This record gives sequence, structure tokens and C-alpha cells, in this order.
Amino acid sequence: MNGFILTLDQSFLIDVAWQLLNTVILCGVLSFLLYKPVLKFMEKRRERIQNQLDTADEKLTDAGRLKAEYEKKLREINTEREEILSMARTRAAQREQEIISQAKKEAETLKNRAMTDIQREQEKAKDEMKKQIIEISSAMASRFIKASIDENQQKKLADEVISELGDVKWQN
Amino acid sequence: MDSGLDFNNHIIATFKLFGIDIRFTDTILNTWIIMAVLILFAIVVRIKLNKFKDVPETGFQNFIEAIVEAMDSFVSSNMGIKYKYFGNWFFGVFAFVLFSNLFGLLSFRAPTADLATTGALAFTTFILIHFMGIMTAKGSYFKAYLEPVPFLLPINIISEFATPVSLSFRLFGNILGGTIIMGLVYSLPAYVKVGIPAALHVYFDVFAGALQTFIFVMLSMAFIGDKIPEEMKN
Amino acid sequence: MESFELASLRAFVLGCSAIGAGIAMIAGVGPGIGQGYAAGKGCEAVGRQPEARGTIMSTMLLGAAVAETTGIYGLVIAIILLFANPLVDLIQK
Repeated sequence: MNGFILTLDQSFLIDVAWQLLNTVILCGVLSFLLYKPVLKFMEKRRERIQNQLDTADEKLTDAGRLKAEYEKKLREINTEREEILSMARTRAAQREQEIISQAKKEAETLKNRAMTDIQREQEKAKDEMKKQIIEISSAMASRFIKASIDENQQKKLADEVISELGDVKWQN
Repeated sequence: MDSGLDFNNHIIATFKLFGIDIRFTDTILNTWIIMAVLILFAIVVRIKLNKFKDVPETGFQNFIEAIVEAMDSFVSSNMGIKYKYFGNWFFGVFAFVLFSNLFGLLSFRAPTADLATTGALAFTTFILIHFMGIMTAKGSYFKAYLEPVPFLLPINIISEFATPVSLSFRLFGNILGGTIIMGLVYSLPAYVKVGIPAALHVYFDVFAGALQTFIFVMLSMAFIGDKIPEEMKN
Repeated sequence: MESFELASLRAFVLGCSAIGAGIAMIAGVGPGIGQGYAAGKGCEAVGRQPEARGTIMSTMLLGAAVAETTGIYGLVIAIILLFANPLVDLIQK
């Protein structure tokens, strides 16, 4: 069989041209059928996953924002509750104070009234006593001086005596 | 050549086209086989791509994604993110060169053991280098040849042409060296051929083949990326 | 007579080509030293900065590949001399 390893002549150039054609065809076909579609597929997938990651990121930040918002709200609610509670407490204390003072006042008035009642009773009793004393003394006096002095004069006299006496003596 | 020592690139047929002799060699036949395999694979991938899930479920999808992703990051780290569309070209080159280098494992002649193949690949790199140079640098591309002093112009031009030559000869020499050594080993008496060729295949075809593929693609990228200004890469 | 002369000339050229191919492969010494040095430096770098292993490795491979170029040129010259000898074709004319 005839063969060669290396010739540097015209037919070598033709071989080069032939191999050039072969290589270009092969590379073109491989690029068209294999490399480009697979790269495109991977690129598309990468983009899709990137998109998903982006949306997930967005959602995460949204969720974080919402969480912060809710936490803020919760804190606000807590402080509000504290406020309300403390306000209620102070109001309750105030009310308590009020009630106590009112009760005290009432007790005071009651006591005062009772005192005045007692005084009035005393005065009444005094008057009564005066009257009785007057009666008794007038009765006694009438007994003593039945004949000499009439009743009116007697009463007047006894009144004078008793009021002079009473104003001084009944008051202690 | 009667001793079974045969590592030639055989001419299977020759035919005339427009008065020029065109030879149909082992290289071209093997290239076609590799092309057929790769294109079939690509078609399978294209059909299965419709069934790919977001989360890879099959090892096949994992594998495809891994190689495409590896190529993508390889290109963008070497040439910049803006120029990662070069991955379309280099993916094909990488697959072709790798399969060619590994083709020796099946006792075929590797297409890359022919200077025509590596020359064609290096020629495309050469074209891309200067195309990108003119596209990105515009006028200053030609001025670069007159630096540091105008009289170094011939040396600059020679060094530009040395790039594809060294690229093609590196791959060609490595794979042909492996092919020749394998041919020599296979022409030895039968009792030597037990086990030893396997180890040599692992070294020359798998290790050197994969390494040279990587180096070829990486150097091509480096040479092309070198012409792109650093600030235009992103 | 003429054909014998031609044949001996051919044999001479082929022999010299073979010697030349052998000498051309001496070029393999340089890349060997260079790549070994690069690998050693790569090991040092990895030892100093193990986290940058990937970058160091790819850079080292790139450098090693460039350093290999001269050796590959030698190999190509040797292959041309052995298998695609242009000098033998010159004689036949």
C-alpha cells in the first residue's frame, strides 16, 4: 500500500483545505446542535432560578418589613395597655381617696348632726326640766302661798327666779 | 517496509477535480468517522435536550452540562466574558482534536498525526488571531508591527507566522511521535507485544493526547485573547 | 554503471539523512531540561501556595508546551529527513 507521512507539496495544501472544510463543518454542526442549545438552556435556567431567588428575596424582605411592623404595633399596644392600666390605677386610687374622703365627710356630718341632735335634746330636756321645775316650784309655791298671791303673779315671780338661776347654773 | 512496520498515511484513492489531483487518505476517512460520531452525538443531545429538567436527573444531562459549562468557563476565563462566544468554535475544535488523539486507541491512524489536519486547525487560529487583532485594535494593529523600531518589521512578521507553525507542529509532532513509536512497538516480535502496548497507549494516546488537546486549545485562546485589549474583555 | 553510481549516491544521502535525523533529535535535550525546570518551579509554587494549584498547573503546562516547541521542531526535522526526505528526490533528477 502506498502511503506517506509528510509531504510538502500541492497535494498537502489540498489536504489542508479539505481538513479546513471538515473542521469548519464539524465545529458549525457541534455549535449549532450541542453547544449553543445547551448553553442557552443553562442560561435560561440560571435566569429563571435567579428570578425565583429575587422574588423569594423580595418576599423575605416584605415578610421582614411586615414582621417589624407588627412588632412595632405590638409594642405600641403594650405601651398603650400599660398607659391605660396605670391611668386606671391612678383613677382608681383617686376614686378610692374620694370615696374615703366623702365617707369621712359624711361621717363628720352625721356626727355633727348627731351632736346637734343631742344638744337639741339636751336643750329640750333642759326646757322640759325648767318647765317641770317651774311647775313643781309653782305647785310648791302655790301650796306655800295659796292665798296671798294669785297664780299669774306667782308664775312671773318663779320665772324670774328660775331664769336668773338657770342661766348661770344649768349651763355647766 | 516489509517488516510490518507501517505507520504511513495511506492513500485510499485519488481522483481528479478541475485538473487537480485530490487524494483521499486515511486522515480524511478517519476525520469523517469522527465527524459522524460527533454529529450523531450532537443530534442525540439535541433531541434529549427537550427532556432536560431544571435539576439534572440523568447522568447524561450531568455530563453534557459539565462539559459545556467547563468549556464556557474555560473560554471566559481565558478570553474575557465578552468574547465567550468563541466557545462555539473551540468546543468543536476541542472535541475534534480530543477524539482524533484518542482514535489511536482503536488502532486507527489519528487524523491529528497528519500535518494537514493540525495545519488546518492552526490556520483557523491564525485567521482568528489577525481578524480579532484588526477588529479590536483597528489602525494600531498595523502599527504594532513597527514596534519597538520599524526595522524589526520582518522579524515581527516572521514571529506572527511562527505562531501557527509552532501550534500545528507541536500537535502533529506529539501525535505522530506517539504513532511512530506505537508502530515500532507493533512491529516487534509477538512476545514483546503482550501488555507493553497497552501502557504505551495510555501514555501516548490518552495522556499525551488529552494534554496536547488542552494545550492546543489553550494556546489558541491565549494567542487570540492576546490580541484583545484587556479593557475590552469584559 | 550510471544507475549504480546513482544508487550509491542515494545510499549515501539516506545514510547522512539518518545521521542528521539522529543529530536533530539532540534538540530534545533542551526542552527536557526546560520542562523539568518548569515542573520543579511549579512544585515549588504549589508548595508555597497550595490553594493556587489549578492556576499554577495550567500556567506551567502552557509554559512547558511553549518550551517544547524547539524539541518538536527537531522531531519534525528528523521525521522529514527519515520519511519525507526531499534530498533523495533531488538526486534522482
